[in-house]
Amino acid sequence: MRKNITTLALLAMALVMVLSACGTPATTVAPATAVPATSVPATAVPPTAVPPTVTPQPFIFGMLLVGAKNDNGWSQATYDGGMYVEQKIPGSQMLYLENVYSGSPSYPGQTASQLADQLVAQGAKLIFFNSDDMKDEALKFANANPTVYVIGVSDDWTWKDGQNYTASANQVDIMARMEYMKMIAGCAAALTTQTGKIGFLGPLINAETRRLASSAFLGAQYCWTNVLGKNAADLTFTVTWIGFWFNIPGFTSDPTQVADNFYNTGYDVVISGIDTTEALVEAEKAKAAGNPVWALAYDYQSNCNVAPDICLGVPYFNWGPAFLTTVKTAIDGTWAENFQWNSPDWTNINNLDTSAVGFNKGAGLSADNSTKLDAFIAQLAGGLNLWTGPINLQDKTVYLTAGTVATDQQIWYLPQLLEGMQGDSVPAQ
Amino acid sequence: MKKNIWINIGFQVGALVLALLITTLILVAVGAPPLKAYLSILHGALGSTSNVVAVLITWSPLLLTTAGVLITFSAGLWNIGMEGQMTVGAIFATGMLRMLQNSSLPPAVIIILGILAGVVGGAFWASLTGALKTFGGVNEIFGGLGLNFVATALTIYLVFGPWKRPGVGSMSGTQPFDERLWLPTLPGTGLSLWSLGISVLVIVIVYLLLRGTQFGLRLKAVGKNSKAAFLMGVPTWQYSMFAFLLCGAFAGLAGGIQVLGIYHRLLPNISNGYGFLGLLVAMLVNYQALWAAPIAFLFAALNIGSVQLQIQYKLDSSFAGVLQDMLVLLVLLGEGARQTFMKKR
Amino acid sequence: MDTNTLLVGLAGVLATAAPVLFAVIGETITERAGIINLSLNGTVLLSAMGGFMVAYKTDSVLLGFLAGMVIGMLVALVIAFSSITLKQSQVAVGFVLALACRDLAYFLGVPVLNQSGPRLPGLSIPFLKDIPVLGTLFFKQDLITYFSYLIIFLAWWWIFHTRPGLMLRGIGERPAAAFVRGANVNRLRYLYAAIGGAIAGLAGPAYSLSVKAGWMGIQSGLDGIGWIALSITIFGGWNPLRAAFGAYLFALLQWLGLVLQSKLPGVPTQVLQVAPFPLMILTLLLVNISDAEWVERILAAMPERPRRWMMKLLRTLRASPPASLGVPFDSE
Repeated sequence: MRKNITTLALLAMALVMVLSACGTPATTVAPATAVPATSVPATAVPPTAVPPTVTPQPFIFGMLLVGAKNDNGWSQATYDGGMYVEQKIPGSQMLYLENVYSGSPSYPGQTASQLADQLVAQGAKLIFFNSDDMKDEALKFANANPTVYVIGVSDDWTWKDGQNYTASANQVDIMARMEYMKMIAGCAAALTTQTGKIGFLGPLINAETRRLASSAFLGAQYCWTNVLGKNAADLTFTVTWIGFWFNIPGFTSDPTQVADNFYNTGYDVVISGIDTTEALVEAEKAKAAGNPVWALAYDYQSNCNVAPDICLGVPYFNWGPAFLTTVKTAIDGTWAENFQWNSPDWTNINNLDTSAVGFNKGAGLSADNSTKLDAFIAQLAGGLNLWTGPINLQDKTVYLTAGTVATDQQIWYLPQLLEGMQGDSVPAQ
Repeated sequence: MKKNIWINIGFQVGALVLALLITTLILVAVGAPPLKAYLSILHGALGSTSNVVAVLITWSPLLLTTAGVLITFSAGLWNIGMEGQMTVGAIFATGMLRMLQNSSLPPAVIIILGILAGVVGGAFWASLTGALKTFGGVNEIFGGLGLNFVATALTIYLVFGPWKRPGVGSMSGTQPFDERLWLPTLPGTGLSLWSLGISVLVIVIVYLLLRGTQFGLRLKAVGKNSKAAFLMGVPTWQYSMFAFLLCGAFAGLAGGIQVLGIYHRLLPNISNGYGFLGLLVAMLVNYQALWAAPIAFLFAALNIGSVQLQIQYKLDSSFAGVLQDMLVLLVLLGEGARQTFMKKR
Repeated sequence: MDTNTLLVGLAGVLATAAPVLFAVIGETITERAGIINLSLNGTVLLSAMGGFMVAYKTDSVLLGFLAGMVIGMLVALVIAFSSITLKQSQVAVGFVLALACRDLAYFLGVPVLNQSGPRLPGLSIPFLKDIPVLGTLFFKQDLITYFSYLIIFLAWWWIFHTRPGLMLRGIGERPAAAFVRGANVNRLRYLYAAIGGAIAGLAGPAYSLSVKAGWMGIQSGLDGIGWIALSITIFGGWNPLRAAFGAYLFALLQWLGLVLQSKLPGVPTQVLQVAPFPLMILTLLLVNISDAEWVERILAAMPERPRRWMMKLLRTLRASPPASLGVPFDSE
């Protein structure tokens, strides 16, 4: 009998040990939860806050994030945009859910619109859908909940002149003209590359990603030929797609391997187009191993901090201002269905209160190239438009004849990559 | 004898308490208030009609996979391949819909054919595991596991290849189907009474089948001692194979419902882990069909309720999984401890 | 692609295979002792998170690797305890642990999610690195990759060329016979489960502190690796050398998928990652059917050359699992 009890006690202890072994590190770590420094200080929400009832009529809005709120990328940029609103509108509060995407293991069997319902149940009157992956769900939710405001980040449903216009009175779609910043990134890459080979770490293939990869290429080509005076044919620009915005094992290609493969095969600058930081992390590793390479980050203004030395810069989204004005219209009742494709503030692209996109230079950019890049930025600000013909598509069909300036539709719905770029334009087959 | 029952209950309760204790410790470890967290899950699952509806939506496929594994478990088989069977069910359903969506057939017919295609797909995929097991001697755990990943690869191939959205190559899935081809739902919710009704019917049938029929008895005989059953004249391999087919059919049904009732398209990971979760439920109820429905409901409720945990306390929603896994693990170990304890007495 | 790029690429293959190798070698040892550790997928994730967390907190990569080993060992001991002492199904407990450790990793890993932490530095080996071809291929890696080369041969030597190794094979094949010869079967099984688990526990930190540095939760890209390792163990026929071949083959296929992305129209390259699974099924099939009568008959009916070829293929792919794999041993 006694032996049995001992066995049982041992059993219990063994289990507690296993679990506490897993748990112990966490206890010591808890304070480290803080989000990496951002210029928009995280106020309000203490970690254990329940929706406040003290402030009269707080405006609660919800945000569905495709990734983690501190992913150093797309999701963190949109999350910070929400924090900006929270900070500027006293009494407003943001609720959010992370890792919301089709088939996400975090929410088995629940679609984004159902998760939005959960946020509404907590008092949210406006919901941000932060990803193209939730595009259909955003529209579905907006139609099913006419009294809740919906903001579709990067969607085009409410673009009257777009291909997918669908009336949706309670919806606003917001995108920023990242094309310019990608051109700057491409220019920085072209100025820096020693081998003349630039890699583009692409997410999934759609109109948005084609347009951004192609913009980076246009910037690279311009600086390669016009600033450095080199031959266009000597520049290699290759796009490799992983299949989603970030790595999902077994379902996407592994971005770590894609980045490594670029660096190992003579590509000395990789422009990241995905939500996470593999291009930078692997560049740092390659550099430590004696391979002089650089990377350009994406999405989030402080993304270079992941690996400052090899970072040439980061083209980033600054959602705060657009989110703020739009949320305000929801509060004061002036909301109207609309589509925004917001421009940078060319007087200062890094003005966080006015510019929809920006470019922060990284420590890896040489002083000389930094000056050249500034000149390029000034040209863009002065009206240089690289989306001007002649531009051919990858299959050599003419897209823009000489001198023609692309319309917004031609840029947004770019059907292929451009001539001179390597990599798939459209998915296999 | 009576005393034994109390000891049994004691062990089970002890296991549950220990499981809760451990999860509570885990909550404390990450600095969350445990009681409030549990209440928040409860409230998130049952606090409003829309939450209960959400629970019911996820309950339905879980019931189907649980019903399926109850059959294979009875036959002494570990159908770990249900994820793949669900996936192939979803692929078949999508294929059928794609084939018929532009035809002049009435939507109801297309929907029914789609679901049936799912059933066939799931059964087909299960038959592969079954055939590997019965004719090739390949353990169903490894066969099933391997075929899960093959099914995933198949989905990826289809989603990025032949069935891709025009001009798009994304994990997000195929083009959503026209709304007329969706499984009808209660207005304003995503809950389909059809899917719920079918699932409940299936679990009832499985319960009756295993409990009162000769088929059920023989199936269990095969599961307990295949050689003895064979000597008693039970066609053992046929029974094993049939168990796989039936389980696969239920999994495929669940896959079809995911396509027609939830996502309205095919996407990678469409099985959502329901196959694995069904295995957990069946293990927790010690393979008793009677308890399967409420425990499956509990698991579904945990999944939904934990969303509130993230909204309110910023805790990762994987907590639902932790709680589910711990319950099953401790109950398994508790059962082992009980047997060891009883044997030594 | 010139020779050097090819070599550097292949060197990358060796590095990416290292974590899988640890998982596979660990599992091989465990299964040789007659125990199936089905928790591998959870072990990899939890040890990756735990290893990173410890390294992040202590700023010591070494402690991170140690933490990974401890986690792997503890998980394996739970399985050993439940199967050896409690006589419960190893498969059931292993499966639940696979899920439990995964969920725990995600839940407990939140505090270090997406933080930059320490990473094992590269360490070229002087002199050896200058050997043409081989230097670039093998000797410009990091410590854990060198250790991964070592562990293959260590495990192989231990299992097939030492007395304790003979005993190890004995307790997995015919525990009763080993018992009669004086082996404490269950104690040894505990021991080898722990050792195998600890080695498998290196897989996690090998990712989070080297190959895919950092912890990114469900975006880490590690969920599924353990199942792949499990299938490679079987493909490897419980022989460390062949298992290593399997792990390298897997990493090579992943790399080829990338290199060939533009040259394989119509095939999404991530589909190639699935290759270990059909190979596993084929191996298991051959284990069981290569002696079957109908196979002999088909072979006999074949013309001479294809038959020779087939028989050779069958022989190479054949493997025999430890006879008492997953069977509990009771000395009474």
